[in-house]
Amino acid sequence: MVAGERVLVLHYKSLFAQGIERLLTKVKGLQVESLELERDDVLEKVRRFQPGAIIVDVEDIRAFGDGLVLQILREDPRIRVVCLSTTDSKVDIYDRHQTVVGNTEELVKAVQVG
Amino acid sequence: MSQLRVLLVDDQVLFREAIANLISSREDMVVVGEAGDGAEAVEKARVLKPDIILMDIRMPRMDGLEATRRIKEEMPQANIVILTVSDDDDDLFEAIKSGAIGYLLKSLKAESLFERLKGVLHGEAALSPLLATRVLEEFARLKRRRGNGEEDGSGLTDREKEVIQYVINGKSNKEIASALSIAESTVKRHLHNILEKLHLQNRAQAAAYAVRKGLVEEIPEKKPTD
Repeated sequence: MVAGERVLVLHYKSLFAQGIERLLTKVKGLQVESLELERDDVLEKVRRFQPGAIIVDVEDIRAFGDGLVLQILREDPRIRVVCLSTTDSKVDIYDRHQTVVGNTEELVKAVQVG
Repeated sequence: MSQLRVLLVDDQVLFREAIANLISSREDMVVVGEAGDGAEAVEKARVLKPDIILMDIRMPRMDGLEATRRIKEEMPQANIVILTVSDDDDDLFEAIKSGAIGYLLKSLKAESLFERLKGVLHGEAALSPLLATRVLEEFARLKRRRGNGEEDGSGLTDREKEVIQYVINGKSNKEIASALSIAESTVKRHLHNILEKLHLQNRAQAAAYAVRKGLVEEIPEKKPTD
């Protein structure tokens, strides 16, 4: 399994993130883990898991800040950070790209390709 | 064990898929149908007769509030719970007036959602404690206003009056949003509604009108401390 196929869902137990985690777990070729952002050892877990992509709900970032995500990116800028929004189908990938994701299939593509 | 039959209504397919997947992991609930807008929700509710309808607000063709009104007119026994990102008071009160039995935010944790949905079948309102407090405050305020015989005839909601109070004090949309803990886009929507209701062109006219008519009381500015 290459690092690019590891997907980490970071969440505060929000509905959307938990649902996304369950959806992706069923996709072949993806190794999906999820972590609650509130955990003290979240950074350590990220280092150990070495994800190729991280998915976060943009509402979680708005509510709790983006410090952790930025720290993760500083340590490994190759990680694709995919920010999902519950208000529309726009998906921010890093801070450089934006795409539209309508369903699970398109989300998987965004996670894999960026 | 009988399962709680849920109709999911949201225009965002990915969100529907995510929630449907969460529900499918439970033995006591099942998604019997999905709809992408309010009009489709009315049709599906008629055919599927779900125990609970989880309804988004902002959707194309017909929004969730209108769909709620239509479904409740046709099927008064329907249990409709709004599931939205909007924490705006106007949406909350309008949803309740439309007949929704609950109003939940999408930032809710999954377990809380399921607990509240089960509570609905026992006659409980699905409201977070914070939103329930706002509803009670609104009722208390209405009661006070009726008791005082207050009625200014402006047609502005209390929230719109709050917004205009800040406009009078020269606050920007961003500052108003921050002060009221709502999105900047919501402030813009309130201002748009205010101008429409008062038949005015801009925020300066609205502020002047509100002061002249005594619709609001000016919020005193905080003096800087030495």
